[in-house]
Amino acid sequence: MAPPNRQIRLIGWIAPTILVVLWQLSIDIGLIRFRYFPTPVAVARALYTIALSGALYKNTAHTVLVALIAWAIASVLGVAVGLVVGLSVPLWKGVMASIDVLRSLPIIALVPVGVIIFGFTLKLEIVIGAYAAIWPTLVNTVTGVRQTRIELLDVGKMLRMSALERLRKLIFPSSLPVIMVGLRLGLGLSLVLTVVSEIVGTPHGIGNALISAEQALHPGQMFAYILVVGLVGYLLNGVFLYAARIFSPSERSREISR
Amino acid sequence: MTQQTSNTQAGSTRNSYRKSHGGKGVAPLFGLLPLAVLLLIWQIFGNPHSVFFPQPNRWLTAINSLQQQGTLWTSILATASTFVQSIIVATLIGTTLGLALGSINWGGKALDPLLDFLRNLPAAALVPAAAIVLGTNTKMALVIVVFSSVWPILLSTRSAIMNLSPVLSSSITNLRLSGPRRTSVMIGSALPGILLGVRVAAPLALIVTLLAEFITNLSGVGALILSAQQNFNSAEVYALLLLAGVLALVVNSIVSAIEASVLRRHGPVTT
Repeated sequence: MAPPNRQIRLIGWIAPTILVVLWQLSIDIGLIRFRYFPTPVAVARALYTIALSGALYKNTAHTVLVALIAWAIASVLGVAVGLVVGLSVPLWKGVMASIDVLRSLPIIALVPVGVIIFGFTLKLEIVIGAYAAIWPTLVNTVTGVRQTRIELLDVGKMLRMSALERLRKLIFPSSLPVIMVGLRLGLGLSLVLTVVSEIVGTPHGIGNALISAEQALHPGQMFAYILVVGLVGYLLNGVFLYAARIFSPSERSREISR
Repeated sequence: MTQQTSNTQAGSTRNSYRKSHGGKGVAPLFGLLPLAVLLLIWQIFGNPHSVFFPQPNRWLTAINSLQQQGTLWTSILATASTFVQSIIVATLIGTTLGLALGSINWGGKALDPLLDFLRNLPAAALVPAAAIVLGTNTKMALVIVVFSSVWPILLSTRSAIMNLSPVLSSSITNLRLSGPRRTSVMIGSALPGILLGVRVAAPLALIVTLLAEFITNLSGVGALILSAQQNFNSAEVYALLLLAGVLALVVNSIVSAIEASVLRRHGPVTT
């Protein structure tokens, strides 16, 4: 790692540390007084307890796995449908407004529809996670494809490339940065919606553990799980950006992380 | 997160639409046809007794009966009031913090990791925490909605301030502007950025409002959805999904209208 990068990392720890210390102190000296607001020390202790009992590992593994499955399904479908809709101008004109309406439905209102159809099952988690993640992927793929420069297509025509070749060698690579942004947003959404369906009633995973901790009046454990959800989201995002940097040239990955 | 994509997208579309094969623009309205046909087929060929897929006309009956019970409008009002209060508070806090953080140049390095972590905390996970700490009440909903929707405004304002045109920042220095005059000049020039943040924050605030009501059964449209689901009243669930969609549409059009009118009065935007 280059020195300036390490410097940023060190500096980045200062603000959270100050925040945590302030949080602890303001409860200790009685500045904040809520019955169920845990101190950072209590949260750390709860984290240690759930880590020791294996519950933390089990719940996190479940949620991450489901979110990744949902995301994978959404990514394949979103990119495939997005390519088709983006490539054909008449098709785009014919269906894009419908897509815009469907994707702007508040996803939270769709969760109960899923509950009625699937019940509180694993299927519900996957379907809801995938449904949420498909829209940014689809819409960004459409946008990316439609942004392909006309000169690039002219090159393809001049070289007498077949339609498939043009897609593979010109259109797809040139729209990849925009598609990657969609995939990254989709990843975050599928995690969040997986957790939502667990909070709402699916009896597995982090969301369920969080609600159980609330009902058992264990605020420490609850905040510990919130911390875990935040960290998982942060890490998934980081891994995605890292992978994008490995698989694509530097110029592109800068665009993806923007 | 979302704000930044739309930023990127808008930027690259603006630069390249003339030269791209897709051309410019908003999707034409007749693209709604497939959706309309789908609903029509559903209505004509759907099973009138289906629990999972009630026909569209039963959605309307369900909405109507909610209205007759008198719960529809009070719920919409409760949701709207939480939403409006939250978006106003979030705009005030977001703009203030964005201005402050944009003006200090070491702020980026030191605060980015923390801000990144906080804004990516899922609101859904925070709702139960807020409910246990603050109790299930409107204040709790406000806190959660503001906390989740403040980030796009804060970050967008901050980046607008950090990317002020060099001419403007040197004018501020040269004219020795300070205090309220300096702030008002900076707010003026950051206005497009602030509005962009609000446009991203508004739909988010609506979703989190519904979510908070849904998870804690706090009165509002979200609570109506919850009770419809718990009673397995599927027609009502679909009807309320439709209502939520309409609310989202209304919010978007109001925000766009405000954005357009403010920017028009503010003059041409040169970013």
